[in-house]
Amino acid sequence: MAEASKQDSDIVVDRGKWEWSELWKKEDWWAIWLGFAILVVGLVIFLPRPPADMHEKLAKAEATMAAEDARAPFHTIEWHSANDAMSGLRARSEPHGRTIAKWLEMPGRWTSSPMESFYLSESAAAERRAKAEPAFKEAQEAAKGALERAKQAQELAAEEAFRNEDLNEQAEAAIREWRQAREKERGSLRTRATVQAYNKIPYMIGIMIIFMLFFSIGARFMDIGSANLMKGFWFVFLLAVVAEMIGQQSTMREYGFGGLIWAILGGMLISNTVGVPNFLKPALQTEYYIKTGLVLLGAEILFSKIMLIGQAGVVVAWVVTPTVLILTYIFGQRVLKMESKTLNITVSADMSVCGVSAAIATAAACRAKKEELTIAVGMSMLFTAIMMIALPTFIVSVGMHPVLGGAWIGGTIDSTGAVVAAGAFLGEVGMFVAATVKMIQNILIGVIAFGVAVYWCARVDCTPGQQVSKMEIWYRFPKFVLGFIAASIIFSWMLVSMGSAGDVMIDQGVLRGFSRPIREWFFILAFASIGLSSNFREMAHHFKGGKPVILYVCGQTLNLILTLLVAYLMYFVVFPHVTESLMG
Amino acid sequence: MHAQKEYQGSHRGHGKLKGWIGLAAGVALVWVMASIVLPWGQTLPHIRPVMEAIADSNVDTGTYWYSQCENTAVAQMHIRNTLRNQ
Repeated sequence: MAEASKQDSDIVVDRGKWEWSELWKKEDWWAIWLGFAILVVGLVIFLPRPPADMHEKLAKAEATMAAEDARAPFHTIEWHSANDAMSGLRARSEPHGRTIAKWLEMPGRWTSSPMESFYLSESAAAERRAKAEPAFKEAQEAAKGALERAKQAQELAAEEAFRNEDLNEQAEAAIREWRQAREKERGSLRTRATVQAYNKIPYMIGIMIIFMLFFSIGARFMDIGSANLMKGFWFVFLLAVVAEMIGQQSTMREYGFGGLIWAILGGMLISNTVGVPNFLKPALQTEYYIKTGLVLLGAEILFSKIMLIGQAGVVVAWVVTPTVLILTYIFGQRVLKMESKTLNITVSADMSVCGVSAAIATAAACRAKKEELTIAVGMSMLFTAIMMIALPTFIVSVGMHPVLGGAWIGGTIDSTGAVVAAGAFLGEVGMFVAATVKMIQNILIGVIAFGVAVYWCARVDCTPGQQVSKMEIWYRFPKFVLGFIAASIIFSWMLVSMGSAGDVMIDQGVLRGFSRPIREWFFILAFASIGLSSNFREMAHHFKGGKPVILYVCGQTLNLILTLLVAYLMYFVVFPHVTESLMG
Repeated sequence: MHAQKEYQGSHRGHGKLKGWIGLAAGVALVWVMASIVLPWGQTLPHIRPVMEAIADSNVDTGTYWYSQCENTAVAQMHIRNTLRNQ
């Protein structure tokens, strides 16, 4: 009995019956109510305040690009400038967006002094600017010079009406050099040369109080109790802040060991050494935080992005990925004979789809144990760091085409940041392809989470041979998934119906400017809670025989082979014109 | 009885001390990783070029979702506008 009750406390629980009181007593429903409340507030703040002349600017940029496409067989300087102007239009860059960003900001990057993560004085900022200025000015001059050379080369090609192949190639090469110089100028050099003084501490205290009150609304109606949650919330928040600070240390950041893993490790270190005091325990509401975060994540699953890179990208991201997921799961069950099906599917999804985010969504959908999620996330971060270095090094050393290399990286490396970093090593086109394939793959987790939730209710969470009725599936179904899917459908529809303005107002406004930073906070609070309520022994039990590592390595090997093969077929055999266009 | 209580007290105190030592050891391990092992790894010939590229591009490699990374928005815009007339 005690064992069963302990097991229950470790998993996301829904019982096989329906009561209307679930609507205000269960964290699944509270995740939906709170998640949608945030999304509505975001819409109310951003939608009535578009950037000035947004529609005119978008129309002008689109017209310029169409005219340049008709004029030249490659992307001209004017085309790139119009594209940059379009990218620069963001609702969150408006004054209200900048104010919100200040409130929701997490600890920042630092190198040797952790305090710089929270506070930078005016004199220290001025010192940093002065130190970075010579290199930045040099980069600015280099970009200016490269632009002049590109203009001259383009003019020569234009004089021949873009019919001279040699001149076209010279112009293309000069434009490519200008883009590279511009990229360098806008990278870390600009960040260092334009740094301003900041003090994040008051905002962090403010946001902690807001989140505490926010979560205490649901806690009042559930068994937790508002006062109980408030008593320990500050500590969970503090651990989350410290974890994020460690993840922002420049070396950690470059390896990709972000705040989430430090939140888990820090929490585990505390709970397995000095222990967690009783007053903290009601604040360790992993499922409450994670499910609310997942409803917000649902809004970022924008189905209109699927066709971004044409059918080739869809095949690479949406055919290979589920194939690898299913085969890895079967391999885990039949060959490795893994005891825990939830660990098996969580590691399979984490490895084949998109790392941490897929692990979170899948673990919540199949009610995996906290320790299982921890194992999946830990392995993902470790292998991502290895692959982020090994894959681009290999691609460059064998001289692989950047489109193929980019698609391979996007389809196989787990986390988006690592994909972009590895893709950047292949150049601009490689990075663009890698980032886009990964983005399309990210969208897949909506379908995966829904599929796993249904499969678990109908096939796994029942005795062998038992027929499960539709109502029984509904009783057992993790209801927050409904909010997750609904948010995805509503925001996908809004994005499409708004046309080009959708990117400016929804993607670069409500989502990236409001719900995303809040969701990041919720996930790190959830991971701090996981760490504080996990124990090493339970983890060691799941690691028995190293089966999760074997599963990950075998699955990833299959993923690497299949993705490379399919990407080659798609971009060089079936749709070679897409590759030609991307290189233009 | 009194002796037993005293033993339990010292045992609890010993356990607490062990806990704090464990916590300090864990923190020290993280510090060694962050300030010695990982920076050393960055100087290795096969790792250094990638790490330099990451530092120059200012990408936060720890971001786990597309919307956390600015480059995805730039990539999306470029790819969409490139393939618009296909």
